Amino acid sequence: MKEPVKNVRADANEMMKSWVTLFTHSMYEWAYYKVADKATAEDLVQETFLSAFQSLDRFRQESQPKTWLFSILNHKITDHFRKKVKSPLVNEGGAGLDHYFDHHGEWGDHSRPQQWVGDDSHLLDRPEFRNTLDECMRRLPGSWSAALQLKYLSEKDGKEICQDLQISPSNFWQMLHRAKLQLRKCLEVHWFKR
Amino acid sequence: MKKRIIHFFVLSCKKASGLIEKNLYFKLSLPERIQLRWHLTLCDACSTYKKQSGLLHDLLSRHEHDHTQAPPLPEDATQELKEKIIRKLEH
Repeated sequence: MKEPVKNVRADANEMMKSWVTLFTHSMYEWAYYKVADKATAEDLVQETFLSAFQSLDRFRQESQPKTWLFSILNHKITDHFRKKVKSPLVNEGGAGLDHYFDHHGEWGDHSRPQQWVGDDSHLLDRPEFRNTLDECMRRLPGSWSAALQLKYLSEKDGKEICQDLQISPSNFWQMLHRAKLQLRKCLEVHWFKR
Repeated sequence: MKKRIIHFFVLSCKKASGLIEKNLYFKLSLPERIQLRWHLTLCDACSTYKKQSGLLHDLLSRHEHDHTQAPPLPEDATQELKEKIIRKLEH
């Protein structure tokens, strides 16, 4: 009776190997784009395959292997961002609220939001806009961009993210407030007012 | 003068823009909702901010997990990684 079991395992092994061959490259491209570090991206892809292999019974045949692998990879990437938000090494830099508001709490002259021309939802169809958005994300302090990416990649709600991070909701949204002010300003200067 | 009155009775723009952000991720309390609504009816700059912040929220939601957007890398960049992972899986 041992023979069939062995065959199942051998089949699983072959299947995993074919997935490695097929999907490693696009998974690495995505991980590298997200974390901007070669070694980290390689580790994330490798860990994804090892986790996938261990939980192969949870893979439902009706879902696409690529979709399943990317969902595991996205979990690994958000774990990475979670550590980065908490890391004291990346918390320096970034403008405080006083950079945007005067001592009455009113918008400063240089930061008062102006109407954007052509702000519409088709912006993402334009690769140049996506590049500008990426560039503005990269200019944020590491922990702020990690917090934003954590929020928008994981699709978890604010409460869950705060539980994961063990930070208070006010800490979290105040960090995102400053991040959004800077991101908004950056896009205004580099895209909407070119 | 109008601004001073808003800030005194309702909220400063600093706090209002914070509540606009908070509202994207958490539920506002009833007093916060009322204060923010009042502020927005009186303050053009924060109304503009709210619109732009909502646009950014929508753009980030769609952009940040769109893995087809990753810039392409040369095929041979991952050859060693593939071999390494296959070796790991065999053990």
